[in-house]
Order: sequence, then structure tokens, then C-alpha cells
Amino acid sequence: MSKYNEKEIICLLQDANRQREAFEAIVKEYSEQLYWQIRRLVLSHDDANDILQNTFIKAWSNIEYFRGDAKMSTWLYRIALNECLTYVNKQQANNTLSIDDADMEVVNQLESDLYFDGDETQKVFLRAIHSLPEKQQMVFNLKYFKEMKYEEISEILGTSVGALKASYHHAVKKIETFLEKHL
Amino acid sequence: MGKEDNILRKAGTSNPFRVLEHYFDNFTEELMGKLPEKEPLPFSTEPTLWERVKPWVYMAAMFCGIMLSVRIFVGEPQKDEFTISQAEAEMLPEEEWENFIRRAFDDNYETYQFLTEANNNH
Repeated sequence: MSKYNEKEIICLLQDANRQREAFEAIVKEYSEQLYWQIRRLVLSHDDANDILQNTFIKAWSNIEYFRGDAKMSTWLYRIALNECLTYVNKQQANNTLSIDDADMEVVNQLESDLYFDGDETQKVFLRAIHSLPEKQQMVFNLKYFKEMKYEEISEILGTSVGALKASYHHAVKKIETFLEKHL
Repeated sequence: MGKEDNILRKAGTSNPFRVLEHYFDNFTEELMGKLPEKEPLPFSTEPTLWERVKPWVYMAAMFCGIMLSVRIFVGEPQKDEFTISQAEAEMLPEEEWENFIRRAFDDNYETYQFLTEANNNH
């Protein structure tokens, strides 16, 4: 299997002898793009790595239920973002921080991260994104960085296109206000 | 969208995060090693006894149902009071026999006439 061909991969998934091989191709194809989406939400590499692993382990365990009605990427993004939400909710349950403390937490996390190369503007930009509710962050990241269509985001998040457009519009306004205030 | 353009101008879309070199290549290998073996799906091609007889049982039940409904709506077939078996006929005394014939062919004028003539001949 040289080049990723979704139809071919889905066919191979039905074959018990070649299912593992097909899944390896899926991991190779999607791990990087999923990782960056997860990393933007959780910031830390270690957490992003754990969530990415859990995403693929869950996908592997439920691969029989993937019937090819949706795109493989949509299915994987849905699992990954659900895993992110579970992770964020757990974090929030463990430490109840005020909005200001949460903002400081983002700053500290970025400053102590050896694998963060961003300048001051990018730091403020990330703080602005993290000031949004989690689902709004997801909508903003998928639309702004990945330039995903609303229809696809709608399939991933299970929200109507209209609601997503409104959510993105609000997110942009809030981020712009944050940037104006902090830059 | 004006505000989106402002964000783009100020912050751009570049990725400020990094990962270790060959992280993604190693990730695939590492993950594949962690994946549990899949249990082969149970292939049951041999149908069970119940699966084999089920259509016949259903069909029989359907016919019983139809017959039952017909009985309910149409009613049970009534026993013909003018029909008797051969054994019963042999046991019947002669005078009873005549009454029976009369009742059975009550409206049959020819039979009545025949019986009357037969009586007269005696």
C-alpha cells in the first residue's frame, strides 16, 4: 500500500487478515493532523500524545462499527475531540480555577514548554483561544487553522451549520477583542 | 470577514508548537505495538435447528389462525339431522324408519306419494 486510498483501506478493513495493515495506513495518514488539533486544545505534548493514542485505540476497538457512511477523517476527529473534552472536563474537575487563574495557567504551560517556539503574539493568540469555551475553541481551530467546511465540522461535532457559523462568528469577535486588549 | 482578517494579520496561522524529530514515524510503530489482537469474528454459517424450522412453524401457526378465524366468523358446520349411518339405519325400528323418511323428505311430494302407494299396496 503506497498511497493512501480510503476506498481501498475500507475494503481491507473488512478482511480479518489485512485489517491491521489497513489500520496502520490510517494511523500514518491521520496521526499528524489529529495531533496538531489535540495539541492546540491541551497545549502539552505529553497530554496530546496520550489523547492521540487513546483516540486510535478506541478507533481500533470499534473499527467494526465504521461502515464508511462518513469519511474516516470525520470519524477519527469525532473520537479525538470527544477524548479532548473528556480530558478537559477531568482537568476542570480536579482544579477549579478562576478565569484569571486559568489564563495564567495557559501562560505558565506555554512558557515552560520546551516544544513551544511561539513569539509573544502567538502566546497572546493562544491565550485568547483558550479563553473561549471548549466547543467554541474546537470550532475556531477547525475553521481557522484547518479551513474545514462547516458541513464537515457539523458532522464531527453534531451541531447544525447555522449554530456553527454563529459560534465561529462569536469566537472571532472575542479573540479580536482579546488581542486588541493584550497586544 | 473584517475581524478575521485582523486576526490573520496580527497572529497568522503558523504553528508555534514542535515535536521531537521522527515523532510521527515512531508514533505509528509504537501504537501498532500497543493495539490488542482482535478476536476473530464468530462465523456461524450453519443455521440452528430452530432457524431451519422457524418458517414452517410460522406458516403452520398462520394456517391455524386463519382456520380459527373462519370458524369464529362462519360458525361450526351443523350436523345434518337427516343423515344417519348405516349401523343406525339397521337398528331403527320400522315405524321410526318411516317417520324418519317422512321428516327427511317432508316437502318432497313424489316420495310422499310413493310411501302412500306402498302402504296401500300392503
